[in-house]
Amino acid sequence: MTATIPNLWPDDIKVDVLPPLAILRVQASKIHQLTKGVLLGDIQTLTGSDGFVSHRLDLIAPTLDNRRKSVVSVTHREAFYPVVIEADCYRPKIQQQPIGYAGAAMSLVIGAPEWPDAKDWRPIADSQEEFLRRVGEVLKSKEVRAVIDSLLALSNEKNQPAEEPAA
Amino acid sequence: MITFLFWNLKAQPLRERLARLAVAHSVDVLVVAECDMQSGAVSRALSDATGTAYRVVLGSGTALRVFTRTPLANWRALFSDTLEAWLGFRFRAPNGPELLVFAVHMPSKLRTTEQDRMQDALWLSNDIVKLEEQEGHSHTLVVGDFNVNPFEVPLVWSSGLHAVMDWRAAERETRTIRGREYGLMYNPTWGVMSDRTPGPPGTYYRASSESVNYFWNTYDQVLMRPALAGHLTELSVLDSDGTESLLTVNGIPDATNGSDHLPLLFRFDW
Repeated sequence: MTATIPNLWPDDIKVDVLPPLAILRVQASKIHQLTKGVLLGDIQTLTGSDGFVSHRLDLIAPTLDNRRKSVVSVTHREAFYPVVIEADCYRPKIQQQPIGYAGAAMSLVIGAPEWPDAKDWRPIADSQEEFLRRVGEVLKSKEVRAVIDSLLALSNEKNQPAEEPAA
Repeated sequence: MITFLFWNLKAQPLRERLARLAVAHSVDVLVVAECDMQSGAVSRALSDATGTAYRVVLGSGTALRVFTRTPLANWRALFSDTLEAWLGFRFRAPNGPELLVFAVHMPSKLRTTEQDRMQDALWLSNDIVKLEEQEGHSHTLVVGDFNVNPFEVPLVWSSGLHAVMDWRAAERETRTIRGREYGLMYNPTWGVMSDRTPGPPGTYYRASSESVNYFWNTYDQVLMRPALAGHLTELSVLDSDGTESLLTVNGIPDATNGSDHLPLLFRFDW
């Protein structure tokens, strides 16, 4: 009698996984709808050294001479996951210990440091599910909300008709 | 003429020293990094000492801020990076051209890898080019604490800041590499490095036990497009606030009574 060989793959594999860029593009278009066109979302992509690809979601206020504020940057390699997420809400607010100047010097000898660095303050999403959770966390953060409300308030102020001069 | 001063304040309460610098050098625009003082308190100290009203420019960051005695209407915030590592402004210089001013405070070398620094330089360069396209000119200056020396890769790399030490080399404006064109910047800060130049040998001193150690670093720099280079009349690293020295008796930045960085002063004449 042969033993039943179990499924060793994770139970939560999904087949509708999208690249991080596609997820950010949807968020960029949604802010336009949510603010009735007062703000625009724009995605920029750069390919850097060592096969790194970075995408950045910027908010643009067209009535403020296209003033632009970037709210989240994500970086991955040719494979879409893992993704490193950089946003103000994750930035250490107190002086932290260096991640290792000695490590940087060592890289001259032994090559590039490991990527992604699990000890770094920037969170890492290994899956789409984790990426969605993290991006949601950023876009709902008080830091991004402050940016949205500031840009909306400044845009609304600029759009207000000038006051009638006193008679 | 317009006078700029950049200083990384290292989160120290240095408004009085900042005010002395403003008086001593008749500074029009102060860009400060690691500023954790209230903007109102800084503006008041500057205004009281100089007798002219200084205000913080709208669009300044939490710690990276711009103070000026030029009319605030001459300034327009155009860009802010995710972590406020750089801010971009349109600035109409009095009796001068419209400028694009980028204030920069790149993340510390102690907390980033070489890859991070190259990626940041790539993004900053991209933002500069985008704003130049938007504004329709390249009267661009980029000032701040880059946390790398003028000779390190993020500053000289063609996809990064692409900043060179010779105005004549930058004057060609672009360089084509493998069929792609990259804009050049002029970095006059090369000219204030080492003990063979007037003033301190750098802007930041760090004696470490690592095998590569420059002791003096020039992390605080100003870069500009070649269109502005001919108008630069002065650039110096300051070792005094006009009254008191910013150095210890050993000749390194007095971090106990000031900042561990020294201020950078530069002037343009139109």
